[in-house]
Amino acid sequence: MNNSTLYIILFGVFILTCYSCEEETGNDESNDLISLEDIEYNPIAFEVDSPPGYPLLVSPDDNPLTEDGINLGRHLFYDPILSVDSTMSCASCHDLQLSFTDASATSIGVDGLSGMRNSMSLVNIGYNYRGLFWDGRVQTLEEQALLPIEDPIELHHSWTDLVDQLRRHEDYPRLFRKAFGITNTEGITKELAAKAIAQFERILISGGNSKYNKVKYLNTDVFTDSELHGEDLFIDTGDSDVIDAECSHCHNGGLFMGDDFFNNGLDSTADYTNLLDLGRGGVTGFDVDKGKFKAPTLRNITITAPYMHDGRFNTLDEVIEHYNSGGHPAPNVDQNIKMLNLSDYDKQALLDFLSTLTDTTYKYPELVSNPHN
Amino acid sequence: MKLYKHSICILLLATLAIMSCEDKETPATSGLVDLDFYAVYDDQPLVMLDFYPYAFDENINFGTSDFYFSDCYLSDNNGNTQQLVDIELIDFTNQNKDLTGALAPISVSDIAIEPGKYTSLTFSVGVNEALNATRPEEYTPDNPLSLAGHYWTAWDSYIFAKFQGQLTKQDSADVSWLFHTGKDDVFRTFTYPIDLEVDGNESTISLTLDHKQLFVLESDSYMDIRSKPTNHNPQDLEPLIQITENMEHAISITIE
Repeated sequence: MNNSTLYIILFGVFILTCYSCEEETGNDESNDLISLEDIEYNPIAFEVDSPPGYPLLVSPDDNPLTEDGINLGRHLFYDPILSVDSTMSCASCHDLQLSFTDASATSIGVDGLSGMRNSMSLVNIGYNYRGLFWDGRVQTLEEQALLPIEDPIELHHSWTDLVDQLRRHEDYPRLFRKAFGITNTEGITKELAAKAIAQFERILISGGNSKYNKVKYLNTDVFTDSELHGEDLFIDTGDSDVIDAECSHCHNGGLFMGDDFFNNGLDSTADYTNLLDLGRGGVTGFDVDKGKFKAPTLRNITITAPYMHDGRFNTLDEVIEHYNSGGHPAPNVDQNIKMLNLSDYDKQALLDFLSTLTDTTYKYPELVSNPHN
Repeated sequence: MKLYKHSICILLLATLAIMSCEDKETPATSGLVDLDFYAVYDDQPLVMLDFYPYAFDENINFGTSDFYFSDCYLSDNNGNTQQLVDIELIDFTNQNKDLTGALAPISVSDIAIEPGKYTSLTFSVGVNEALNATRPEEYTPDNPLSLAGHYWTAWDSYIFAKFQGQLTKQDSADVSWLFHTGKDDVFRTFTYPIDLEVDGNESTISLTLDHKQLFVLESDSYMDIRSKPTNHNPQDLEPLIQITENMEHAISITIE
């Protein structure tokens, strides 16, 4: 080996070492390259003004909110191009008018197949940092947005084909360029599509105009006696004359949502073997997690029927009656599930209080509707 | 010879490049301390939902066990202190889901501290008064104080600790029990004598919480949980203070 060869080898080792520090990026899909550099890329940060009492809205460092990112996500969210036969979009199961749910017990996918679970409301979903889906199987909206596209019981498309469609589309290359600054159509990837959808989902904010907020934060309204009693039942102010319905153990904070997963006594089981849906336990594999599900936000709960992970309850009256009954026994049923002995007045008061959490408006109404209409 | 000199230079550069990939820098003179937390019940590893013998012929299990561990520091005889932890939620609920998890610690790792001979360890259970005047929505989601489920709106307080589970007894109905502590009056600070010499080495301080000892009374008897199985009541703090104060002796400390 002469000196030159050895130098080249050593220099190569150096270069490779430096490159090993960097994360892998890019994709291996080939396509006809179309340059997009003539299209202006001028990202404008989008600052969210959250309603009082809400958590801080934090986006991942690699996916900050921008006006064009949200706009791209909005277009994708409502576009049936996301499904294999171009008949369904995200909005098919997450309807703006229904607080981004679909009014079905379990949703029907593009092939007519029914899933096992109820479509969760996407309202205020950006504030959910501790597990998405009913079983918490992903942690970020960016991860979440990747999954329904290829799920056989949902949109049943393939990302490879969808990305190809997006690259050849009349509008999307421009929208991706403006959102993410890609230089050519090959820059369109499923990861960027998911990032855009996640950005859009983060601004689906509602609740600031609810009666609850008007009473608690804006001082422009007051609770009725029944609503006040319902609040006392719900959060337990320590008044010994009022039953503690224990609701806020699982539905807490400004979003009335849980940080964790709970077995709320829906099904009787001694060893979990008879459960149709293992919920969180299906993700972790632990017995102690079987039959546990996310405690969803109660914001807009009056317009997100039916209820529970499988949509088994059609009305909030049924839900309240379930909790009043003490539920069904299971080894890991939450300790707060117990017979409550609520009176009819108590039940109505709880319902009245829950109704104060409803807000049919959105923080950014001009940004949340279907742009294809 | 010239070739070898250049080769060495390039290999040194490569080594530097590799080192630049790492983001953790440790002062050369510092020691590293790990805090390891274990949950047991009467010397057995505590596994969520497994039953253990309690007093009154009862068997008890835990479905939830967590607490805020805060303001932890080491002190030497000269009054110098080294902070170890600002605040963490020690969450046995999600760690001790099976025996494997119960045998593994919850670790707060690689805390760099100055060399020295440390003679005491101090920490608090709960959220100090200043932080307890804040609310979860003031924190980013990576902060343990951002957990809305650990804030009790009706108390205007963080929930300092959650212990809950079930009691079973022959010929009696099963009972769910629950104690959630909170409010400034329940905040407690404990100091333990230790013998820890830090001299550029790595040390592990293990803190083991014996859950049976949470319910011991002064007379070495135990709380009759069945008679009053639930308390998260700000007007009835006495049992919650008892449980919190019991944590001082329920936590044993070993150093490796």
